[in-house]
Amino acid sequence: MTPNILPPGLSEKDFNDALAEFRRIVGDQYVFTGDALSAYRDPYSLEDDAKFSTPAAVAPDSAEQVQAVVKVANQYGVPLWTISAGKNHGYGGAAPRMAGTVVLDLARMNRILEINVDSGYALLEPGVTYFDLYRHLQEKNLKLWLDVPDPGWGSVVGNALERGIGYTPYGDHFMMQCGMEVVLANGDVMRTGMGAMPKSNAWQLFKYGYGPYADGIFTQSNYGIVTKMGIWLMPEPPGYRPYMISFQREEDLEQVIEVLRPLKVNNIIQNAATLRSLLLVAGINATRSQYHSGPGPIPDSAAKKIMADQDIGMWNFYGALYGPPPLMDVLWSITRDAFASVPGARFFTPEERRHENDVLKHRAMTMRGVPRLTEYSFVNWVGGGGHIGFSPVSPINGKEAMQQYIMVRDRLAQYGFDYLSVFAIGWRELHHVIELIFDRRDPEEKRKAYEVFGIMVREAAEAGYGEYRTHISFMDQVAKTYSWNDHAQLRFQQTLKDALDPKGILSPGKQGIWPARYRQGG
Amino acid sequence: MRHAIHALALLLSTGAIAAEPLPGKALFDRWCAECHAPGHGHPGTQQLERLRGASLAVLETRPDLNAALIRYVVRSGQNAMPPYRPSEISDAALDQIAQYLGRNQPAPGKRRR
Repeated sequence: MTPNILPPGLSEKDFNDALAEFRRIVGDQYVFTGDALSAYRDPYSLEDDAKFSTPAAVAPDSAEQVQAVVKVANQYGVPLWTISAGKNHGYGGAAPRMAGTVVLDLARMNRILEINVDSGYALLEPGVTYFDLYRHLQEKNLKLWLDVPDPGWGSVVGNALERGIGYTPYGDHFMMQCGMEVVLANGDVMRTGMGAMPKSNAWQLFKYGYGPYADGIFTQSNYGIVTKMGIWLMPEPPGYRPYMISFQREEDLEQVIEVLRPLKVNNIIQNAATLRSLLLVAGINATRSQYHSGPGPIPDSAAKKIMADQDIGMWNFYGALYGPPPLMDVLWSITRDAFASVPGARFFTPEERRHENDVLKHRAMTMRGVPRLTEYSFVNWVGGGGHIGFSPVSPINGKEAMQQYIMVRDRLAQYGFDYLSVFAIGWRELHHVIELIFDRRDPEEKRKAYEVFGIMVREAAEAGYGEYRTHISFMDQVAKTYSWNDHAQLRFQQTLKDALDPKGILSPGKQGIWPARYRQGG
Repeated sequence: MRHAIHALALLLSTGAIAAEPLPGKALFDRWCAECHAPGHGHPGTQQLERLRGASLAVLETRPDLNAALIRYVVRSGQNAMPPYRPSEISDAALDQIAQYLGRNQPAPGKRRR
């Protein structure tokens, strides 16, 4: 069969020969071509699908099969784009950065290899989703918690490799990662940290091992294919109290962030808590058309009505307390007293929320690691379900949060989009994750979203705010904003790429890192 | 044989023969229910209620779903719903889900009426 697209520079004969080899390795039924590729596209892409189209997908079942596939890819020069659960939605989904790249789909490698309750960790293959791991822990009645992002369908390994975030005290996923097995571009396989020592039993206990620490270079990268990964899991605490604090005025953002910083830096706020904008919270239960039918962003009068209907604020802080009750009592009194300094602040437990589908009742689950998809409702805010994440990082600083908010709100408003965001509170920084919601059935909306996104990346960088992660459409642009000393970091990344993957077969263009063969070809 | 008798006795004792779920039910629960189960907190059900009304919001009770439509939507996605790959839901599993969700369709004879 003639594929509709070929890897750059490959003849149809060579490509078909490579596919035959892939079929021999993984089995005929696990090499997908033609109509079977309909799900390997980014459903929320702002650009033409052709820019990110794939000629085939290969789904191996083991690290040994991955090694064999990589060797064939090297022999023929077939580029491979690795995905695990393929749910990197808002950042490209399962689609490759470069048209003609074959998708290496690790969904079938979904084994939970080990759970250690005493030491609190799991060793997983990349196809294990949050739902899979949660169901396993429930079925076995193991007293360990996951840390989940808002939608639970993603891969535990894949999310940590993308440096995603969750909402328990273990919310920084890569920080909780410990030990990897990685297939390299030449088909070799290595284990990192203590896993490099044949008889060590501390692979999932001590991250660093001996010598240069390698795990970081396999995150948001195209240097290897992670086939196993350790992740620390939180022991179920003796007590848990989720809460919400609502703030009524737009300008409260500055004071709220100033109150937050010392609480977070001193670990009074134990979890990866979030401050959520009015419309992000409202979008779980309502749509824009219920409040505003005209063009342009939601007007203030409609915002006030939403606040009243849903009993929420312009900003809504969702946190939780964990531990023995006396500890939670003390932490709560400090937290409550600090936020009470913000005029109009209101405090709630889940039991105090009047709507059945209230967001605090939902977040009470996510902040204890129960995977759900409830939060995905906000992508229906305008209808059509399109969304893309814009996520600049800043210090935990009120003035800067306000500056970012105004910058993004006004740019989005200029293009007719509403502002939906979450400030995720890290150990020392804010991830300001803005969900740009558009109707994916409307080409003009997509064009406007693409244009304003590029402007926001540029303006954020000019103000010193870099994105922590981005969609495949913008990977090159964001990479170029990390430009200190004539792009020294990107040059270093390219040097590593050329040394580790001289034929340039692994995920070309991932995070703006191109192998020499495609760099030179432009 | 003893197992078969035991299983039959169990079914009889619970009166469950007629209600024995199709194999697609378990697959639906695994892959679809988080978005499409009845009640609050399920984005698919919520959005279908907005678009099609309460009577067509819950997939498992809809009388109008046919297998071809289900296969298409699962593999291609629709609106907010992303597509699912054959590496996740195999063609055989998808057929079972489609059969399960299509079970409420009126029989062809009745439809012709």
